[in-house]
Amino acid sequence: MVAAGQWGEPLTWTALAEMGCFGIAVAEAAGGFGGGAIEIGLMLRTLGRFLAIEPVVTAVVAGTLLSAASDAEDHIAALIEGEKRYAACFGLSDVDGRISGQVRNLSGAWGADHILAATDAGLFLIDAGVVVMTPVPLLDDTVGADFMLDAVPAVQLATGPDWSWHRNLAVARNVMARGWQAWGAMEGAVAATSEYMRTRQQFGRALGTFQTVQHRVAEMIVAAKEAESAALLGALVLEAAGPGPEAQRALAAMTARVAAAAAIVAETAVQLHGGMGVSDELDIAARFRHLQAYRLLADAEFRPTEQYIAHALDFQRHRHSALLIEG
Amino acid sequence: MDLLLDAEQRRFRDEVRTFLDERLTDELRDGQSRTIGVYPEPDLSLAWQRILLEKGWAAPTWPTKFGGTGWSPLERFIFENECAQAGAPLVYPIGMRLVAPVLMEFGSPEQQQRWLPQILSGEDYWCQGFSEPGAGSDLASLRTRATREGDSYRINGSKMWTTHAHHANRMFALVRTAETERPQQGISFVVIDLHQPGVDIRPIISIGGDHDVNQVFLTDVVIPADNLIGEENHGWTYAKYLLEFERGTGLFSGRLRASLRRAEAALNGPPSAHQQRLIAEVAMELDVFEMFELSVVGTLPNGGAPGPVSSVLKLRASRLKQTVSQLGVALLGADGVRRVPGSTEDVLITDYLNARAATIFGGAAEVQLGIIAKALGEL
Repeated sequence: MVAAGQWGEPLTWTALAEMGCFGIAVAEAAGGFGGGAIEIGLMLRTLGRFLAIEPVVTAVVAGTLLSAASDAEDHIAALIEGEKRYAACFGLSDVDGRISGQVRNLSGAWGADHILAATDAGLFLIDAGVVVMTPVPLLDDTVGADFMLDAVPAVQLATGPDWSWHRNLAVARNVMARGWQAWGAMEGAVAATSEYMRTRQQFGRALGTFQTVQHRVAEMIVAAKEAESAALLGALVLEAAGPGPEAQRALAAMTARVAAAAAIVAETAVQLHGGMGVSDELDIAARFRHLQAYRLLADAEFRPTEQYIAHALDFQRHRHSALLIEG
Repeated sequence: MDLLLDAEQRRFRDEVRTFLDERLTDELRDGQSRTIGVYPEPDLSLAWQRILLEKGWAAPTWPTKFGGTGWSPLERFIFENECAQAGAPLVYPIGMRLVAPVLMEFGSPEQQQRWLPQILSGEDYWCQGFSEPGAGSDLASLRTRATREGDSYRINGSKMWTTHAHHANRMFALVRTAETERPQQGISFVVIDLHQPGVDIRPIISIGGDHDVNQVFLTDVVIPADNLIGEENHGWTYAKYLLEFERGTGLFSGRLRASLRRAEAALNGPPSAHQQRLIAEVAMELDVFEMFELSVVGTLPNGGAPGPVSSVLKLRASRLKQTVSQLGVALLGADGVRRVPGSTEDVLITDYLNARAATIFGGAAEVQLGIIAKALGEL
C-alpha cells in the first residue's frame, strides 16, 4: 500500500512495470501481452484489494489506445517498461491536428510525459511539457490534473475505419477496470472488518459475537458478492461481444451495482470500526475515501442509469438475458 | 466461462424454442401469467410437466441415471431462460428439486425406486413438513413426535405454512424421535402418505388473500418404518442438505425477468422518464443477479450441492423478487390500490403482497445473514 503523498514514487511505478502491469492491456500484435477484460480485471482487483492507488487504470487505457497505432513501437515499449507515462483523455476536439478542450481531475496526468487525446478523428499524442497543468488533490488520495488545451500541436498516431472500435474499447475498459478495482477495495474492507470484529473486545467479548454486528458484516459480504458478479458481468460481456451495445448495457448495470455495493461496504466498514474507522490509523478510512470517489465519479462521468436507458430500455434489450449472447 | 454461444449451444437453444413453439399452449401461458402464488396450481404445472416428460426434459437438475437430462449448467440456464421467456408454467419444485436430491444421496435403492419415478411422472405431489406453530426460524425446536412401534412409527403433532399440502399426496417431514441435549440430534427425516386417517389439512389465507399454505394436523398417523430416510436421529443433516438445494439450485432470473415484463405490460402507453428510471434500476440489478446465479449454479456438477453461498443466493433472489413485484405496483401509480378481482392490476398487487413471504420461507433473511456471517465471515 502506498500512503497519501507518496503518489508517483518512481520505484513503485518501476516495480509495477517489472510485474508486467502496463503490458497486459496492449495487444499482442502491438508488442504487449494481449490480455483481455478478465486479465485486466484481475490485475485491478488485486491492486484494489491492497489499495494500491497508482493510476494503473490510466496505463490500461493508454495501452489499449496505443494498440490502435500503426507506428508507435517506441511509445509502447516505453509504456510497458515504465520509462514513460501516458495519460489518456476523451472528449477533446481536433482541428488540423491541433487539440483543444478543457480537462478536469484527470487521473495519471500529473507527472506524465505524454497526453493521449482520443478524439472522433483518431489518436493524438501531446507532449506534456507544453501543457500547463494544475495538480489537484483528489478524494481517493491520488492527484488529478486540470488543464486547458487551446489548439495545442499533436502527433497523430492512429485513425482509419477501425479507430472508433479501439476508442470504444478503451472507454469500456476504463469503466470496467475501475469497477474491478472498487470490487477489490471492497474485498479488502470486508476482510479487514471481519478480522477486527473477531478480535476487538467490548462488553467482555468479541464484537463479532453480537448478532447485530454479524448481520451487518453479512450485509457487507452480500454486497461484495454483488460487486463480484457485477464485475464479472461487465468483463465477460465485453470480452464476448466487444465494445458494442451489449457491453454498454452490461457496463451500465455493472457500474450501478458496484457503486451501490460500494456504499454499503464502505459505510458499514467505517461504522463497525468505530473510532478507528474515522481515524487514519488503519486503512479503512482510506478505503472509504477510495470507494466514495469511485461512486461519485462513476455516477457523474458515466451516468449508468441514463446509459442503461439509452442502450437497453430504448431497444427493449432489458427484456432478455444480459448473458446469453449471439456468437 | 465463455458467454458467447457456440454453434452447439445455439442449436440447443433453437431446439428448445421450437419445442416451446410447438408444445406450449396459450392456455398454459395464460395460466402462468395469472399465477400469483409461489407456485402455479397443479393442474397447470403438472400438465406442463407431462409435456416435458414426453420430451425427456422434465428433470434438468437430476443425474441421467435417475432420468435427468444430462445437460451442462449453461444448457440448463438456456433452457430455464427460454421457458421463462416463453411464459411456460413453473415446474413444481418440492418433489423435483427439494426431496429428490435427498433421496438420491441418503435414500436406499428401494426408496429411490419407490418414489423417484413418481416424482418425475407427476403421479406424486409432495409437500414439505418442516415448520411448526412453535418452530419457524428456530426449526430445530420442532416437536412433532414419531414413536417407533415395531415396524412402524406413530406420529403426533402439527406442521405449519405447508405450501400446497391441500394438493399433495405425500409429505417429507422432520419429526422428533429422541429428546437430546442438542435439539438437532433427535430429529429424523420421514415420508408421510397424506391420504390416510389422522391427517387433517386446514387452509391458511395469505396476505394476498389466496390459499397457498396450510396447517397440517397429524393425529396418530402411522407410517411404515421403512419410510425413514437414512438413519434415525440424523434428519438434521439431511434437512441442511435439502435446504442448500432449496436455496441454491433454482434458476430464478428468467422468471424474475418475466415478472418485470408483466409489470411493464400493465403500463398504458410508453413509460414516463420517471418510470423509465424505475425500470432501469430494477433491470440493472436483475442483470447482475443473473450473472451471480449463473456463476453459482454454473459451477455445480449435476446433482451437486452448492454449499453456504446458497444463503447469499437465497437472500438476493428473495429480495429481488420483492423489488420486482414492488416495481409492478409502483408503475401502476394510484391504480396500485385498486383490487378489482380478475384485473391485471389485482394480479400485480397480489403478487406484490405474496412476495413479502419470499424473505421469510426457506429460512428467513435474518437466518441467512446469520449463516453468511458464520460460514463466509468466520464470525
